[in-house]
Amino acid sequence: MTIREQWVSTAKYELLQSPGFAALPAASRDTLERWMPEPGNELSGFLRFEVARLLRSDEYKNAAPPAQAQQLEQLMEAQSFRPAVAVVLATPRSTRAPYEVVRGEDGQHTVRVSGREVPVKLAPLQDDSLHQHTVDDVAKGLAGLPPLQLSQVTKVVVAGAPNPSDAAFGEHIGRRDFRSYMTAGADGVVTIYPAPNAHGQRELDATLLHETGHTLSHRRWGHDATDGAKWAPWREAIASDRLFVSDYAAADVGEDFAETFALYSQVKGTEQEAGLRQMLPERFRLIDALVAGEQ
Amino acid sequence: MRHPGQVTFADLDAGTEKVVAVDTLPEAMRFGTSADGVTLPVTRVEARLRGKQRVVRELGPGGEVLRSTVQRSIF
Ligand SMILES: [Zn+2]
Repeated sequence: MTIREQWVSTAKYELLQSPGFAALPAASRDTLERWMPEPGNELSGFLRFEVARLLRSDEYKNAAPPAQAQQLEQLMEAQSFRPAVAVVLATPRSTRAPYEVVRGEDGQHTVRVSGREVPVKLAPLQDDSLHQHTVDDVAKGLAGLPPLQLSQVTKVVVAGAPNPSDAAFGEHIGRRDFRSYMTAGADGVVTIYPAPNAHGQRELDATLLHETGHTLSHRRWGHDATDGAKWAPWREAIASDRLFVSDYAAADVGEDFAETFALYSQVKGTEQEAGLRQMLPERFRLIDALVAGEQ
Repeated sequence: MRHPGQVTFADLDAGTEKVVAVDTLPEAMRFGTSADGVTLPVTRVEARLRGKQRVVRELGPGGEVLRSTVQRSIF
């Protein structure tokens, strides 16, 4: 067992013994305990490690219980244990729906999956030094999407040349070397661009999952995640759960949905589901309703 | 469908904005299609970092997200 694993495994026990924990308001004690489910998961592991580190710090050890409680509150508020993006929190699903690629003329193929037929257009590659995803990569990606996200995709285009908007994006948002990987349109058209280095299946899967989450939420709840009335339950769920699954989720209400929904979809039906549901109960409840068609 | 003529580019991380004449932009990015299949002008482009990737959202006049583009990452 590494030191890290040791700290993670004993953090909750040590926390519950600490006078600083006892000095917390009841609501904060409940929340912090809720963030340490049994069995744990990646996200709670990051939190436990941070808690263990705090409990061992001189600043904490030398403080009186009320000041210790304040340091715990600060840890809950800052959430510096969060990963940058949620995709690292769950192992990618190895299960995919059965699929079939029906090859057509002129690069116009069809992927049959979960009772749907998704047209996939493979454009001829215009530059041999670039790499293109194959129709099979795309089919696998579609087959890895839960039905609700899959239903957002009307067509996939594997472009033969880089995004014609790359230069303008690069010039006007301060990154000259901007190169698009994937564009998701509001109309459900997903375009994937060629790149100098091949992309792995994991990146295709993760990007598709995140972007189709956005498409769904825009269709159901509209575009104004910050103020829109249909987004109010999600904003209330964030306030109640307090925890964000990643720094990117914390940046914006719409991103919080895409990140949390992607994680929900990755862990649904796995042994990780119960723990994350305990950590993010209101958001998971809303997603349950969304998936059931009630939201 | 006519374009109002200008597109605002916003870097949400830096908090900066600039306005660009649409005729300096490639044809492909001047318009987008809404969820209902309606062609709309792109009037605002927002960029934000997601981990090591930049994400660009192209918005219509009512704030509708028409396209969301993820940068090639360094996974
Ligand atoms: Zn996003």
